[in-house]
Amino acid sequence: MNHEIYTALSGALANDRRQEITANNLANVNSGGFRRDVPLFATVYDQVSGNNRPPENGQKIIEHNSFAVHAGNWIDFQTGAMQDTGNPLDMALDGEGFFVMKRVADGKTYYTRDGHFRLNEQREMVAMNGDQVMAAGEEDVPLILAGENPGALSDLKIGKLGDVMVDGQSVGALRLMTFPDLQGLEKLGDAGFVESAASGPPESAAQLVVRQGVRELSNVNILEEMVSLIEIARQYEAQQKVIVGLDEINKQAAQGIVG
Amino acid sequence: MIRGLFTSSTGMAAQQLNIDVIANNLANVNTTGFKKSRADFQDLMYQTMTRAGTTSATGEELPTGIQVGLGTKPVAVYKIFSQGNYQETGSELDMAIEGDGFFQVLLSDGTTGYTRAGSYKLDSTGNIVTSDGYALQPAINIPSDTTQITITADGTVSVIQAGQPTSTPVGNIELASFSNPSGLDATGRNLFRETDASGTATIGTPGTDGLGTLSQGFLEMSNVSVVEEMVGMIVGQRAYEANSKSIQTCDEMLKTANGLRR
Repeated sequence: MNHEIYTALSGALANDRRQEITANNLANVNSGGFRRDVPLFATVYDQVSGNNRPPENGQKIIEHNSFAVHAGNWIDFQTGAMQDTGNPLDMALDGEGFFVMKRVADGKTYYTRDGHFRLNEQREMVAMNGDQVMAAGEEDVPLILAGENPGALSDLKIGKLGDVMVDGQSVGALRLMTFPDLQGLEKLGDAGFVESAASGPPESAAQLVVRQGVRELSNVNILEEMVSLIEIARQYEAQQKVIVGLDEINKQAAQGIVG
Repeated sequence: MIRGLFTSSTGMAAQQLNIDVIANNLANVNTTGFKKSRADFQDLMYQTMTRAGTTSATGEELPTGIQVGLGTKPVAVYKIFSQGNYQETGSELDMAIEGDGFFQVLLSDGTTGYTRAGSYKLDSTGNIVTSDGYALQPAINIPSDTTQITITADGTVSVIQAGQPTSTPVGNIELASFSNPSGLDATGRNLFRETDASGTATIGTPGTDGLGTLSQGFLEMSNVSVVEEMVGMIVGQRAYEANSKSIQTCDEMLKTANGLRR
């Protein structure tokens, strides 16, 4: 039995995976702050020594079979399109870095680019799903927008460096962080990222400008994903042809032997 | 690949919700005091096959993990309380709020409803009521022999009665504000109800505590911008289409796979 059929199969499975990831990118074309995934594939060699063949010119023949495997995703951290919303609680980050969030459900810290916030009843700045936006400083506390007026928020100003003013009074600053290696971050859903051993610990984001009244959209480009979809379908078809062709060879070989 | 089918279907469902919300905004482009809604989406969750930073069998640390995302989900449909345009109507009982705040009305179940729509009428006994008949709170009664009603910016209502040279104050309109107006529950008929998310209402005199002032003879129109909704519709429709193409690709690939066994 030949190994080539498995090589062709690994290619088809790789395209399966590409399709899944492209589907997820497209599903999130309108998810604020979403970063698209680009699957990366690697070649794995399976070395088979050709012991049963006579050496040619004194050289031992080694057969190689290679397989494609999904090695990981490259997360595209290119900035998404910016939408001018005029909402004082919308903030976009210009540069490399994240807002620091605390998940209400379990207290887990995560990082997001989606600066689309609201106030909750305690006047804490929270994401649409209720997760708290953390304030800068040593203590692990959410940002509270206490102002002169008990009711609606009348005057909120976010400075370029993330300092927050309500009714002309400073109430703190946004905690803004980045990582030594962004590619090591893991995705959490909810436009969130979490640190891993590969990303390194969070460090303060210095080269970052906060823009109030602007929202960063998804960085998925429909055109690019469409081209990928066409490519995936055609490659998959070609791989299927190779499998069928190999099957044909095996069949003829088997029939030839039996006679 | 079957995973991809369901991932794309979450994308299509999300865009459908997006279009539903836009359709309702457009339907209310001429509704007095209407506030537009927006649907908000986030990535759903990830299936992690290999964690980033784990050590491989040969001792190297893996710089990236393998994660496959499973689509998108709607996270919120929220109201945008930006100011609508003003329209001069000349009617004595039309009021627009310039700034934050809501009128309070007494609903039939005894609870308070909140509205930005300032188009009021008088009922048979002279109470100020909405077009649906809900009484403005605090209740204000206009005497039957009134010839002119004046509402000042701070909400004082005074009337000039037949045969009298000076005006008599008959009541004060108060406004309510919320720390999180996006958390209010829209119940239709231009009304909102208080929820846990909105916080409790803070009542005050118009023009104080960050509340807006009143303008008599004006109405606040809907804050829906047709152009903005149209752009949203184009984006939503194309995103829907893109997700359907992904499903088509999935289908094509499944067909190809089935073609392996002839």
